[in-house]
Amino acid sequence: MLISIMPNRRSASGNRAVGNLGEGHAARFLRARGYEIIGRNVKTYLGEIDIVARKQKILIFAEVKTRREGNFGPPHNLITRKKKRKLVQCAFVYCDMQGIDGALWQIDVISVELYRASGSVKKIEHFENVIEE
Amino acid sequence: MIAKSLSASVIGIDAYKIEVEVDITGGALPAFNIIGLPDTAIRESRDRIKFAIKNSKYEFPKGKITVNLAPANVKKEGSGFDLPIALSLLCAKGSISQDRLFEFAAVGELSLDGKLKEVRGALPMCVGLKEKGVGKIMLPKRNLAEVMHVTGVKIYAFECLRDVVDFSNGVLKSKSLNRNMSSKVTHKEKHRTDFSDVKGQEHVKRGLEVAAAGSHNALLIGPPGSGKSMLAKRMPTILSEMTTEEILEASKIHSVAGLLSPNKGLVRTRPFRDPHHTISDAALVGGGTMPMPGEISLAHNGILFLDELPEFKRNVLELLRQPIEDGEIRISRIQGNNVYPSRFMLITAMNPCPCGYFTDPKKECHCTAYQIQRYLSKISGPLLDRIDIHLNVPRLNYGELSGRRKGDPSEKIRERVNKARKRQKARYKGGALLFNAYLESKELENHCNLEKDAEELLKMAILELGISARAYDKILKVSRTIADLEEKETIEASHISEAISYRSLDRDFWMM
Repeated sequence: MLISIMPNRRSASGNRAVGNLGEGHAARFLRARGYEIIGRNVKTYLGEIDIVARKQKILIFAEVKTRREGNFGPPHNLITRKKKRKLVQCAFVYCDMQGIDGALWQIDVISVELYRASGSVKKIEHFENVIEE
Repeated sequence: MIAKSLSASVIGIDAYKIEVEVDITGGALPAFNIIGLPDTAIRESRDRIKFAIKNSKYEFPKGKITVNLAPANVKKEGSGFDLPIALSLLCAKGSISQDRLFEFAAVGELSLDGKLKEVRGALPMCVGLKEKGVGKIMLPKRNLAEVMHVTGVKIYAFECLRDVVDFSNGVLKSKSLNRNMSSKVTHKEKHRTDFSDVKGQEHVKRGLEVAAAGSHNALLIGPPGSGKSMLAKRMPTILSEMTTEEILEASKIHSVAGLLSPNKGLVRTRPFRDPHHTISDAALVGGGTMPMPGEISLAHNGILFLDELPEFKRNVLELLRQPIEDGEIRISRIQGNNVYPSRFMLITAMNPCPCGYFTDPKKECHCTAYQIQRYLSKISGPLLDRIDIHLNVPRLNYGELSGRRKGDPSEKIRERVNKARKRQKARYKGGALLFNAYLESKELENHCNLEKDAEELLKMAILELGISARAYDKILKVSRTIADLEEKETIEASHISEAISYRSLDRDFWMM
């Protein structure tokens, strides 16, 4: 039954499941474009980074936003200022944890829109270097 | 990753060498900061540069970018830093070699598609950089016309960022585009107007000829439609052609003000500026938080024409006093002084009364004495004092209007003016003086030898006509010029009487 593929949005775990589905799509999307995926759901003491990837010596901290179609506009609109600050802090902490010093890094947003019924990708967009000082 | 390039910034009409340093580091949030007292235009250059680099098919460097404009304590302004910053960024990325880049100074504004746009002040920048020992300059093609005659420095002009980078890498060969200051620069610029266009008013034309010969300031008074503005607008046609030095001086000021056109280049005809009477004080003498030259500086080596003189705001007119005396205007700000040259000939025009027909024999004037008094009192004594020649411009009658008789063409008058100016130059050789108009009373005694009957006449004029001591000096100066026009070393009675006629107006009106 098709419905069972798509998690139920009405519960918190349902939301998480939609997110995981989107992150999987995003990681495949990045890999297909020549990025090396270093980690997924990397935990720092300040929060989680959805995807850490690397391309040409530049570290990418990607935040994945997933939504089902028709749900209040495009997913990347959901990144608030507070979330942005969090992402930056997490990036610094990650570099610290890994002992990476002076590396070039940037924060990207990958927005994934899913078909309500099948859970497959309707649209996927990659926004590079979304946060600048 | 540090890279450096050279550029220039203009303060007043002088240029300073600026080093553009760029550093790109990782380990930080991506950023693009410009430091070193940039103005808003420079701060906004970040976005122009970013897209110009991307749209020129280069990669914009990642990481935290800091641009420093050194020396850090001088305020920088203008859009000319786009190009050097972009070049430094590409150099830091390794697209250009540092050694090669540092040979050149670069100025230019970038558009989003990577094309180079003209900048203000390219001429003073080239001259300034040359003085600072920079040998090669890269700039936008649209600035070429104004700077191609600067000698002692190699100038390369480009149309887009890609060409500049290719040239810097030695991929694109380009020749320096200097031309020697040939006869082309000083070649006669054809005037479209001529003094012979004006019918009648022969005595006014004569008066203006005297004014041009001695660089005297003049005031034209007459009813509406009598030809005051028409005459004034033809003044540049009877002035001598500009010397190379004068062309460069005037062009520098126009360049800083952004008024040089890409096609014509230098200012080759004497400037004629006629600001409207609503002009503000800063627009007239120059000013602003980042000072810019005003109309009086734009009229440097040319003519400033103020039509409807009493309509100007009084405080604006009073500002003219000091620049007329000194030939320059000093604009002081906390960051420092800007000095703009402002040696101009002041030609003014006005009606004799608010309705305009006070001196008109045909049309009745219906202004009250009080109205006229108030109208005329808008022009202060000290300002009037700096105007040597007052000319009454009467209404023309039918005979003069329809008459076939034409006065001398401008070229003929110009020849006479040139001769008189040459005589003055020879007489005042070595001194700071240039023209009779700048004679001080002490020098007047040395240079104005009167014939006996001339002296008698002057004495009588003072006694009979009630001429003031101030006017006495003016009459001497103007008669000196008239004598020069007639190639006489001593001043004769006829010269004195003509000079007196140019002062009679302040008696007719202002002593009412």
